[in-house]
Amino acid sequence: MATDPGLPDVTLTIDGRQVTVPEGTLVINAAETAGIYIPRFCYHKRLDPAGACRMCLVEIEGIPKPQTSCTVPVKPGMVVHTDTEAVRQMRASILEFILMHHPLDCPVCDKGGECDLQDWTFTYGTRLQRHDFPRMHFRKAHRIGGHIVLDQERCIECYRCVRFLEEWGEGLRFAFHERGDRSVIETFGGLPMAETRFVGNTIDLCPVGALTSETFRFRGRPAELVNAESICPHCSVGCNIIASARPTLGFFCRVTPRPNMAVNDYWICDRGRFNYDWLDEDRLLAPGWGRGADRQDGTWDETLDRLAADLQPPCESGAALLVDSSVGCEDGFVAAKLLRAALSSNAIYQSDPAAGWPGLTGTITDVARCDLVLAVGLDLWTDLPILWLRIHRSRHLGRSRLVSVASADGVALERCDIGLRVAPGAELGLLRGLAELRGGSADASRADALAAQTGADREQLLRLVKRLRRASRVAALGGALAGFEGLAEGLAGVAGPGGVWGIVPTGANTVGLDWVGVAASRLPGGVPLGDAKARTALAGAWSAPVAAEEAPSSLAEALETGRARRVLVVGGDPIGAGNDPLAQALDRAEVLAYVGTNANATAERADYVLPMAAFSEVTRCVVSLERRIQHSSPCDRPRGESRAGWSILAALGRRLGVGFDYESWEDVRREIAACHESLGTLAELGPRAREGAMKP
Amino acid sequence: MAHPAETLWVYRNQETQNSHELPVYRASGGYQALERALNELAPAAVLEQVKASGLRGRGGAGFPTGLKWSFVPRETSEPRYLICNADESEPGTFKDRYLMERDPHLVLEGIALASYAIGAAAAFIYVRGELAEAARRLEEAIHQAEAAGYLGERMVGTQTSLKVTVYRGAGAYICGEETALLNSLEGRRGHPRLKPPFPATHGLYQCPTVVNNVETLANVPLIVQNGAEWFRSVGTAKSPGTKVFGVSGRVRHRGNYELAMGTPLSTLVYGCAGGMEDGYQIRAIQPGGSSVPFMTPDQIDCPLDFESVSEAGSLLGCGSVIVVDQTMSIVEACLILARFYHHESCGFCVPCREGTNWMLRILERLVAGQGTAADIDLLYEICGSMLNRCFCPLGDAAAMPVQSAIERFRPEWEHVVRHGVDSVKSNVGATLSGH
Ligand SMILES: Cc1cc2nc3c(=O)[nH]c(=O)nc-3n(C[C@H](O)[C@H](O)[C@H](O)COP(=O)(O)O)c2cc1C
Ligand code: SF4
Ligand code: SF4
Ligand code: SF4
Ligand code: FES
Repeated sequence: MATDPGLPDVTLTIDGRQVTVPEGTLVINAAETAGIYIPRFCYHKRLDPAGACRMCLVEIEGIPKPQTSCTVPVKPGMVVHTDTEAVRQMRASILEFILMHHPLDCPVCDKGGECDLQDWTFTYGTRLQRHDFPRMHFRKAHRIGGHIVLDQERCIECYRCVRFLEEWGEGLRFAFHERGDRSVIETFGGLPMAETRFVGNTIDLCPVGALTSETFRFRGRPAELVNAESICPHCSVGCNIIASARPTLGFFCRVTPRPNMAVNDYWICDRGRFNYDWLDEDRLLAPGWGRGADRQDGTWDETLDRLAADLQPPCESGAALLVDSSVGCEDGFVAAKLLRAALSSNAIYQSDPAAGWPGLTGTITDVARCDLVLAVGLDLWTDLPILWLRIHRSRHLGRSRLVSVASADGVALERCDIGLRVAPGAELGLLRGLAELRGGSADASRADALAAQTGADREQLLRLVKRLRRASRVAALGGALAGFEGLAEGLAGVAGPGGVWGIVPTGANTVGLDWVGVAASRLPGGVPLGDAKARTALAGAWSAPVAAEEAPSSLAEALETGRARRVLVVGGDPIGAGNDPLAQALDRAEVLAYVGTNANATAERADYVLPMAAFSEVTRCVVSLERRIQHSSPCDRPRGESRAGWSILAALGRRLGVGFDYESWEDVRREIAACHESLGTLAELGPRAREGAMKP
Repeated sequence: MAHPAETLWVYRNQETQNSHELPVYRASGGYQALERALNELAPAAVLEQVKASGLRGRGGAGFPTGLKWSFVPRETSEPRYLICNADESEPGTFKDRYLMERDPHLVLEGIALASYAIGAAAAFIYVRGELAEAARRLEEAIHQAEAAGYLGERMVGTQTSLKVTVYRGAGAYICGEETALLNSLEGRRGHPRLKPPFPATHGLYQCPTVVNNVETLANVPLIVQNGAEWFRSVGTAKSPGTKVFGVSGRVRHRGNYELAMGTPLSTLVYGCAGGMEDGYQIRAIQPGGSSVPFMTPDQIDCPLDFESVSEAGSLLGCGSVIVVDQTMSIVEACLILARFYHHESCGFCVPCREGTNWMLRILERLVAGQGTAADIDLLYEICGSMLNRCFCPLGDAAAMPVQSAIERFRPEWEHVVRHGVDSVKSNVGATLSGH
């Protein structure tokens, strides 16, 4: 259980060692502070104590009965024994009880090698099985949806999974049925779960192999995996993950969370966990050129030479760049430099429309600490799941309320305390009205007028106003569905001086790409393109000219007006993404070069295909929605002939201009740092910067 | 007819015709305590009186009632709840049922007084599912009392209100445990909650809540009416008042008897219950329901109060005396208990969930004549591995009787292993021989 750092300290003795911990600390955690790890099954640091498994029993002087160390808080002068003969007997007997009906199918159990039951049995168990009655049997290897396979027999009933579901927001998607030794985990009606969001975390929580991952099943033992500290590429929250692969066999294995209390706590969402089939399937493996049936593979040199010839300036049809907002800073930086320095164009764009708008003024933790969070035109549950989870956790603890405002039908107005539907385009008016009502006198007629003006439900709006007036810290978050013009000011007005506000990007690196210069009107470090001195300085740093001419504000415009006819796409799948006007515009490009990982609609249409290594195969850094700069290491080898994005773009750059002589990602980072003083933090970032520095 | 040894307080109306009707109850002095308390006494005064009386819970644990009430926060904006625990599921226990069926207004008056003392405006009676008649009587009585102004809005013309709701359980013994009861009442899975926090501060819907047994609450009107001194005039210093004891087994007059605390077990068994039926002898006794250690026939003079029974190595529990006779082996008696606890374990914690299963299998094997001496040791060890290590007292309840049976009747267990269960049973009329 988390303790308040402001609490006074308590000193106690555990196995003869004195230890001082904050008041309220549980004995099991105090022992850990003293270097004693008490065995456990049901206890987990981020779940409320249950006291169900009884594995953590210890003796406390002055208390006649053994006590579960996971439920008892420390007291001054307490004397605890965890290594007596009696305690050892208790542990052995609990293990004997648990193993009575356990199937013992370790050889074919996915948890083997990282199973708490195996580990504790080896440490504290007796090797003898005295229970000689037939084992009870339950259903095995049952797919319960959400990519989870349930083995009811292996379950030791620690309640970690169901506690997580109840305490962290998913709700009871499955639960215990029956009682006594017949108790069994089951989904409701035995039907598979649909549309899960966080259920995958129960796989990690499960101390045994009862809940396993459908996508990882039988793909490797823990000792066979190559693990890397990585960052989830699927959204802007930037969850810290461990990416695991078996490079010698050539496949990616799994994603598990890497605890970071500032970002993702102990969790990740199901999208981040299970969405990795693309790393192994339909990868672009060799460079090539030609559309459709004319496509042919070539060597890197041949392909790049041809592409360079096609792009070579001067040329009447200008060049444009579209970088997917999940691409790493190194790749984005080199791509933007290629445009500015070698192709003399500033037509540089990101896929995330939120790029470049004022971002969040605080951290995720700041948002979670607000007593009211207002999300406008932003579907947190769907698009930024772990941000929703962090906010929801505060709601669960009774410290916060979540209000969702949207005009679009697509945004879920469930899973919040107040869901307010407004007329299309009324978001801004609502924000302005709310800002007035929050500060001014409580005037019901003004609220009525606001309801009429915005089409919001009157009762709901009054509830919101009441909450808003009571709230001491407000977070106001905006998203693309509310339209960006004027939105930031509206959000700032409602959040007020002590609040947190901003337009929340959704791309894993929207913030970072913008920062390193992937923007039509901003140079690296966020310097305006119009700043001639800065351009000169940059040209000095690059030993190359920097394009000065302003570019259209969007790629579609650049393509439609004919100002750009040769397009370089890095990452993503803009043609297949469902944005039809952009896809049609791209289709008209004279030259379309695609630097990407997978065979998709964009690759299909492209004139050049340059296979890029995926996030799990390269070292890169990304910047999250809270401006946290995070380093991500590879666990896998690039597939086929694919290469890191920056190295492909640099090889192209060398054919078109000067100053692309990087040997490693470190060289790229060094150059990024040299572009602007604010970017220094990025270069210092190494794998050991666990928490991640913050973008200034 | 009442036995002369009895002190009829909460059972005073048991033999009265139509005692469940409001006019009959009023004729016996009913609702006078409530009327007086609501008009003349502050809630704190009622609480003080119950505290001074030394009344201890009749649901099994014997916790001082007034002290429990005093843990409820006085100054709180949260609602407070009173819950009458009428789950009465302990094998051998049938005392609350008669209170509810024959004197429901006494229970309601106790509920009203307790609610007043702790500041509850809502009370629930959690009735064991099988006790349909009791639930019906209570509901009728609530209607009558509300119509007469004893319950509901503005009780007896004062500002105090109380809504009493009857809730029927769904047949789980564990739901008599107060926190499992709360879970069940909230519509959750019926397993106990972690304590602390205790219900007094975090009970029903996390609000301050008192859970009291039916018999405990039935004592409250008497205390308020007659005073703490009067209450203390009967019973022992530490266990004042009376207790309803239910006797089952091969005694002549099975049933409930209300005796002063501290009355010897022999008075109950030989006096009130008329001794054993012809030809039956006592083999063992559980003095406090199925959950407590066995006593041996030589302990028959043990006074029935919380302290004395504990000293004798058992527990007074809810005062349900189960007499095992010589036609049943102690091993069979343990098997019956093991079946019950295996069936009723909620399964929340490991030692009880798995231990009750294992105990049952070993006892089945012993009774079937396929056990070994090692099984006795193993069974004894399992009891030790459950005792004091489970999440709630049900696990202890499963282990204690069997553990005591092995300790106190070891030769019989060994005899059963060598010669079968029948070898230690003697027929009606014969005296036990052979070991
Ligand atoms: C397994 C178990 C079953 C219980 N069943 C009952 C019951 O049926 N009725 C009851 O009053 N108390 C029962 N109790 C005791 C309650 O938990 C609680 O102590 C009691 O209701 C408190 O009331 P009292 O203080 O008036 O005795 C049970 C306890 C356990 C552990
Ligand atoms: S499925 Fe796993 S996590 Fe859930 S209760 Fe069983 S053992 Fe615990
Ligand atoms: S919340 Fe976003 S960053 Fe975190 S795991 Fe999910 S998709 Fe990845
Ligand atoms: S002791 Fe038995 S009844 Fe009590 S919590 Fe554990 S399993 Fe449930
Ligand atoms: S870890 Fe403490 S009871 Fe399970």
